[in-house]
Amino acid sequence: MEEFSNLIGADLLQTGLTSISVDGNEANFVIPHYVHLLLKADCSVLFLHLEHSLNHYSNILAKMGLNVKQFQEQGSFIPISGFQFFGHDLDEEYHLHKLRSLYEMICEHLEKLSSARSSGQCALVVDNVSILPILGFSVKETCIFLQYVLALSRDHGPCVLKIYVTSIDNELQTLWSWLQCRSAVSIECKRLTTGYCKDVHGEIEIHRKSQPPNTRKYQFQLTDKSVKVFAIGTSSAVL
Amino acid sequence: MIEQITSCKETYGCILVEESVKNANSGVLRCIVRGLLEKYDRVVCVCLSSTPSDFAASFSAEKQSKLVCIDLFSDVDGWRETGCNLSQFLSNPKSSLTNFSSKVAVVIDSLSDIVLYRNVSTACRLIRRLLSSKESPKIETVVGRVLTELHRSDDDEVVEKLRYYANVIVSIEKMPVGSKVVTTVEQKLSSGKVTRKRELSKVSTDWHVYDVEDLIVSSKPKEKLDPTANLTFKLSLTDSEKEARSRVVLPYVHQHLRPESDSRASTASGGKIFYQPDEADDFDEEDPDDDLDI
Repeated sequence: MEEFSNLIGADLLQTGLTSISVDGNEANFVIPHYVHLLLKADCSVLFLHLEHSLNHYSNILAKMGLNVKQFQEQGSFIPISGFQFFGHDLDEEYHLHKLRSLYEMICEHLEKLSSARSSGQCALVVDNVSILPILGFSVKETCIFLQYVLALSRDHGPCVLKIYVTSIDNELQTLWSWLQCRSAVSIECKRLTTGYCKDVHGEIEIHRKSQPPNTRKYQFQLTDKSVKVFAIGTSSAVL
Repeated sequence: MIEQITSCKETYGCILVEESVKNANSGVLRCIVRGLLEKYDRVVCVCLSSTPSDFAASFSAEKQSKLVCIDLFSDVDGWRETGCNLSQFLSNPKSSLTNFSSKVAVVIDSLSDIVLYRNVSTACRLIRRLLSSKESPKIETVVGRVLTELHRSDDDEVVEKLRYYANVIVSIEKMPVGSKVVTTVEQKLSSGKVTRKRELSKVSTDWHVYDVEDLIVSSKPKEKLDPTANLTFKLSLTDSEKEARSRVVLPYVHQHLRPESDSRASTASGGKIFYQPDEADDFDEEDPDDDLDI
């Protein structure tokens, strides 16, 4: 049994895309873990949060022993709120130019982060990409935006994207497939197919695009302050 | 057959490489590119799903000098105004090839992105335009990669339409273990004949296919599994038991269908119903089913 942080730590600072798909609320721990590890590894983080408010993430990170405001004051953590960016004109029909404005804002903030630090990497974390199709952007427009985000982040550091995927939504499935083929590491967090279990809260499949490709499967259990990861069938209830 | 395709000793026209997301890193596309780099002086790679540096880094320095990458990854829609975007490439695909006089090959990584950002007819027209162009340099081979998962929800039958334009289709199935890969190669010959072969092979680190084994699909009917075999108790019947079973007379078979020898035995041994009507019973001698014509 090991901590989730140890599992993802090896790939943390590699330049390239890490994409994460989730199918339920059980896997909401993933992005805060990444932000926590990146900030602890002395990496600046530009955090585009589309799903929850900054308070939500601050509370989770505070439980993990991280004071987000402190990093914000130091200038190594910049949040961009999706609520503020998209929330002003709810009657407006969103087109590609809106995503282009968002991309230019991300460019500007990444340049600020890079210039503030002479060394070290600047990571881009996005939670969660599936909000864009829900807001009305087509798969094509979302892919164009993400293509630019990936091209931009390659010059600065790692990029972590989260997407919510269901089996009934073909658009999100297509988006997830598109992200997977561009990812150096893709992580799928799924619920248990057999139903609720108090000792096992879900499964994680980590696929690393190495030569040859490497896929590992685990199960996880959420505790109050951490996430325990173990091989399938080796939960504390079984052992 | 996969070895022949990846060595590129013959000219195939359009080669379509079909991959899924899980086996997108199988290396088969890079094997084909390695073969093209050995055959042609220049191989042009249109990079959409990876950066030119990532694509070229797979090959040795000597081969990289022959590789010309068109970077559509960084500025696909012209937001950065670099002058190299998808619209400009599609309007004049050979504009970046005018410096070359000899024959070239073009690799499109990936055709799925062109379908996603435009449509399938644009991708098909691009292939046709590249192969049929009479301007110099002559493009002898076009290789396109397709990710099948990106088009499974499309009503346009994207993969089928791209297969129509391809002379060779290399489908990569789920990789068994390690560097082994199962490929199905379908080749459309100029005579009209179509050959198809399914093979298991390995891909080396310098992008060579080796240890190729044919996976022959057997035409013999599969032997049905006998569920009664290897049991600790007996479920099957002996010949005598089968014969005895065939002699059992079913209780509801009509009298006239039973063998004569059995009918007498059944009347003698069959159950009788004794009915004693009460005073209140309205006993009718007539058969109520008399009017039925069964």
